[in-house]
Amino acid sequence: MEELDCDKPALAPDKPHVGRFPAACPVIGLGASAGGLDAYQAFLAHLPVDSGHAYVLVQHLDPNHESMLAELLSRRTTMRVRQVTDGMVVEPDNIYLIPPNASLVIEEARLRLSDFSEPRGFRRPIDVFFRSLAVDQGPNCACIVLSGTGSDGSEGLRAVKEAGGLTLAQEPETAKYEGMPHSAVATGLVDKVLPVHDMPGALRDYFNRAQAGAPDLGEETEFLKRVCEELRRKIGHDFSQYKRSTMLRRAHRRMQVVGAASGEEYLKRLRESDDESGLLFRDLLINVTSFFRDAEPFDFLRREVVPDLLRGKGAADTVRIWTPGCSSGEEAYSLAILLSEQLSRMDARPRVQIFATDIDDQMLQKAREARYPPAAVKDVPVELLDRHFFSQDDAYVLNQSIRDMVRVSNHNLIKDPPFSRVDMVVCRNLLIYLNPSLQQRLIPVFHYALRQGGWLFLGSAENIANRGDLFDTVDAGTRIFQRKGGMRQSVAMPLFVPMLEPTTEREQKERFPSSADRAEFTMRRINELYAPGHVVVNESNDVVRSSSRTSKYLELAAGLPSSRITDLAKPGLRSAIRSLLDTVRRTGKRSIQRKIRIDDEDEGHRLVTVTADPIGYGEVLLVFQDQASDVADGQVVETEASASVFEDNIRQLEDELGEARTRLRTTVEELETSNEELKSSNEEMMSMNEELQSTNEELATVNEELKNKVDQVARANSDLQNFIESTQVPTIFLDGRLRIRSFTPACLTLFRFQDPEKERGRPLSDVVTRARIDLEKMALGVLETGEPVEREFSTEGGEDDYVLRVLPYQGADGAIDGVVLVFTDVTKIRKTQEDLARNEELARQRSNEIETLYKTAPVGMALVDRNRRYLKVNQHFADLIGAPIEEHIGRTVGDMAPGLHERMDRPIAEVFEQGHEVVNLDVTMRAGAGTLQDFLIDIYPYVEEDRVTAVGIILKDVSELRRLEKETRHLMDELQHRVKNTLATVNSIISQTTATKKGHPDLADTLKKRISALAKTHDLLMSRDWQGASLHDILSSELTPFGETKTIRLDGPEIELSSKHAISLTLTVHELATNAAKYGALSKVGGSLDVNWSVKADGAGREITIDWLEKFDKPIDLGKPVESFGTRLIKNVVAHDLRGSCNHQLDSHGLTCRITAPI
Amino acid sequence: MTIVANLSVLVVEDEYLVAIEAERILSELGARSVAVAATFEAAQKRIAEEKFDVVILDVNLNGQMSFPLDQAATARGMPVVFATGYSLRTRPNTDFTGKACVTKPYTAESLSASLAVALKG
Repeated sequence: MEELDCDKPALAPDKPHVGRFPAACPVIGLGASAGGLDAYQAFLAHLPVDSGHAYVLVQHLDPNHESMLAELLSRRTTMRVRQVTDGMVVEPDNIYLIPPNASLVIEEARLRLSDFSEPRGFRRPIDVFFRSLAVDQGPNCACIVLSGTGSDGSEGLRAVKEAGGLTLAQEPETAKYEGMPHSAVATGLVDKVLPVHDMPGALRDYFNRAQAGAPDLGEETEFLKRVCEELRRKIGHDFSQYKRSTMLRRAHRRMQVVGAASGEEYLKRLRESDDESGLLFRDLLINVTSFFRDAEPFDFLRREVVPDLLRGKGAADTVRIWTPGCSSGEEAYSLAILLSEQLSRMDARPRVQIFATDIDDQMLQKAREARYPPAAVKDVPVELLDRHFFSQDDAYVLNQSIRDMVRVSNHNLIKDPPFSRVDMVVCRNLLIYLNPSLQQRLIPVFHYALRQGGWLFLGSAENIANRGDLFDTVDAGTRIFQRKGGMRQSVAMPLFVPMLEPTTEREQKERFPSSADRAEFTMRRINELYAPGHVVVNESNDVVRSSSRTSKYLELAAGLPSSRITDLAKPGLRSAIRSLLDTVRRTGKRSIQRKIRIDDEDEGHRLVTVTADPIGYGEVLLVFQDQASDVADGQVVETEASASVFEDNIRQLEDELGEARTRLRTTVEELETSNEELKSSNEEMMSMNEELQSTNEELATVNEELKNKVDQVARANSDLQNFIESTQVPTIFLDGRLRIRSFTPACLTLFRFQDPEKERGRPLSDVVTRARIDLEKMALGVLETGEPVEREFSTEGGEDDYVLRVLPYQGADGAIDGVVLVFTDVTKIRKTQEDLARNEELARQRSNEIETLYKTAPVGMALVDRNRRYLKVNQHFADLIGAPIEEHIGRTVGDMAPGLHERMDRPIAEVFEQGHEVVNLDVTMRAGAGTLQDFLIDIYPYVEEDRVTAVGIILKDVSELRRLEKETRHLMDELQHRVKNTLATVNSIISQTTATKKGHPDLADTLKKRISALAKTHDLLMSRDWQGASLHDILSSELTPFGETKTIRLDGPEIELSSKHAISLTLTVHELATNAAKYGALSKVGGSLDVNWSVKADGAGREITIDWLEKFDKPIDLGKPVESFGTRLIKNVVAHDLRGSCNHQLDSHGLTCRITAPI
Repeated sequence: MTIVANLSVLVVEDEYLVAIEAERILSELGARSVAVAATFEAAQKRIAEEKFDVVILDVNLNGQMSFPLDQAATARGMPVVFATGYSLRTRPNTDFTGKACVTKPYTAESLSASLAVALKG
């Protein structure tokens, strides 16, 4: 029965606080070294982003190198990836990375950073973190060991397992570097060995089941009984006396790992899978042990116990120590080191035998190898580490001298007979896993095994189960006890009757007898066949045991049967035996008597040597041996002399031997010295190697990161190259001394560049360019200030415009290391801008014009939507309708003017439907409250995006136009009337004149003159728009032809005559003048002509009076009065046309004609 | 000739020369008597008081329209011939339909034709 580990505080006395500060979520620790990046990436690729766990990545990093891990990993997941800062609280679905050159632990669910305490090469950040994870989170954690060389993580994994967390390791074959996974798997404590991509699933399943709570085990006692039964059947060990709670917890944990939902399911698995029974067995036996675990008790051992053990012991003595449940042997070796330290101070050194026993062969193998990971030796004081270990391949191996002190063997404390006569039993943290009754029965076993006064050393939570009768408590705190005196009590082995059925036949066959059994068998065999005959007698000399083949020396004597040796020995031996026994009892030492003669009846006499050996407890062993020389007859019997020669020879040989031994020792010591030197230089080499390896690992990590980074840089570089090749933007990169670094092909439009390779390094000033701008000056300015500058320029000839932007070129370190010139061709943009500005201005002007037009046009304008609602109305329109503009907007045409609506409704619909304008609709309506007026309406479509969205209405007031039209027509009528009347007048003149002067030679002249007079008056009238003519003008024009020679006087006020008056008076005056020229004062008769006129007004109106007075120089012959046309005209026309009168008086001396007419 | 012969005619004409020309033509055509009225009022009076076989009526008498005289004459059973310088077809607001018309300056032929129309009724 071996030590079991614990996963609950109650069972972890050394660490009562395990798992006391669980984080809000399961915390998963991942440890990796070389090859870690690949493993992390594969892990993240299969990790759901909402797993609800926190992940802490512990990677071996180069302490002097900024890690790119966070950056590289964030590309693989949407989860937050952060480098740890001190004090960070772990949160679900976050990834935390160890920073370079820091030791990471978790305390109370916070990540803490500190400096490494170990020198580089001895750091084990994964172990450190896993151990803290185990203590802090207990069952609420898992650890994963990934790719890497060395063994970091294995010890931490052990701690996690101890604390009840899940332990995973990468399948070594799938890891880039298999060292760490191998080492982890070799602990035998890995719950699952998986390829990385299966890990997220395993974590999810495990913690889901953990959350689901305890599985249904059915009846617990029955379940445990059946589990024990399976274990016994498969493994051969009986766990039925183990503590129930421990068993349950262990079984429960295994169920969680394998995913068994019920007790039945797990039992089935246990039955059917050989692996599972082995794994459960391993889990039950988990032991986390280490060298010098718990300083205090070891200190006590060193001070009090070890000196006692060695006190009074010499080279011939042996110190025997037994450590049952030794597991991988750390404690046994710790004791060996303690003793070795003490022995080194002694001259005569007793032999030390430490029996390290356990039932777990795997652990025993580790103990035999005596090779331990660095974490196991962390409590070994440095000087002891130097003295007793040497370093080999990332592990510490114990020196041979220590290993020689320890005997490792398989032994079952419960089943197998105990060791005996041991000086000390060390059995720590085993009893706690056993139930109390078994504990009680084990204490006597220890008592039996120990010699009187021997020491018992138990675990801190264990006790001697009230057996104060067997042990004294030496130190209660450190659990050290001392065996009380008294007889050994016999103990029945095995200590308990198995409650279970015997194992099957097959298993019995398979099972090997234990080595103890075999040794016993051998002993028995030797005893029977090869050992000399012997008997054991007690204090009363009674034979208590005897071997076979004693008949040659013993015989039943006559008389009462006796078991007394002195009675049973053959005659001749009896006295010798008696004296031997006396001697032995007296001295307590072995005693021999040789050449005792026995007379044998058939074989003659024999010589016998009898040895008496006290074997304790008053018993004495008597051994009988025949003297060889006595076997054959005739052999020479040794004489005293020959015996002495023999002894001389022996002495001589012994001397020689001693000499040889001395030489040998010297040689050995020399060898040992040089060996030590070799060993120490080897150790130095090893530690250097260690350091190199760890540096190598770090370098491998850095290398991986760099490789990854280089790939990215190459990709980015190729992107950049493509961009430079393809961009149409002329760009030049200059270095800090304004020399060409590179440029885009588009630069050729501005610069005369050669091949890019040739141009590299050429000063900017050497480059021929058609850019009319001082590039160097701008570039220098930017170099100095670090501020970007932008300027416009034109090329030579001014045909192209560019904008040049000069930007600082920042190197990787952020410092300005050159400039970038970016040229943007803005020729087209500029032109477009100008066009745009022009167009805008035009549009604005047009818009203004339209607006002005809208405001000032003497027509009404309005915009109406499909529902005949006014959208826009100008002032004129509003005035025409007779309502303010505001009242129109939103109202319908019908609302505002029903008459308009009636006339326009259909045409508007038509315009909307057909998109053609409708013009010159006329309507007469009342504008506002005014009079009826005439309007003309134009309706035109307002098109937006090929659709008529509104119609424009133009309303023109045409009343005035109409009036003018009417007037014009009237004038035309009037004109026609006058023309026709004039023609009729002329017609009449012609026909009257013709009638009266037919055949007369001056007919044509007369006609011409009459019509001419009429025409002159028409001229006068026309000159005043037919409104009238001045009387004076009429008279002047008629009389002027005569005025040069004759005396003509015109006198009267300026008076304006109507057209009718003018014409009628013209006709009259013309006839009077014609007559005067022909016969009167204007003729050759001579005389004077006075024309006087006046206007008189009275109540009836105005009247004009014209007096025509001719005085002849000579009297004329009146002759026969002839009523000519002219005379008729003079007499009648005024009366007829002007309702006036004409009084015409002619005598031989003159003519008087008074014309009166109302005007 | 036959149509006008022996008729008594009233010429309502405000222009003397036109009126005497009408008189001359009508005389030539054989009219029994030709009376002339120079003004609206004179014409009105004569139409009311006398009886003519036909009335030749100038449409525009010193700017005054003579349509009331037509009505008066028609009412008294005297046929009327309108004499006008206006183009009859374009005369606005005037209905000459069914009226006998002669366009100035008229000739014996055109006057006689229009008189014939008027007298036929």
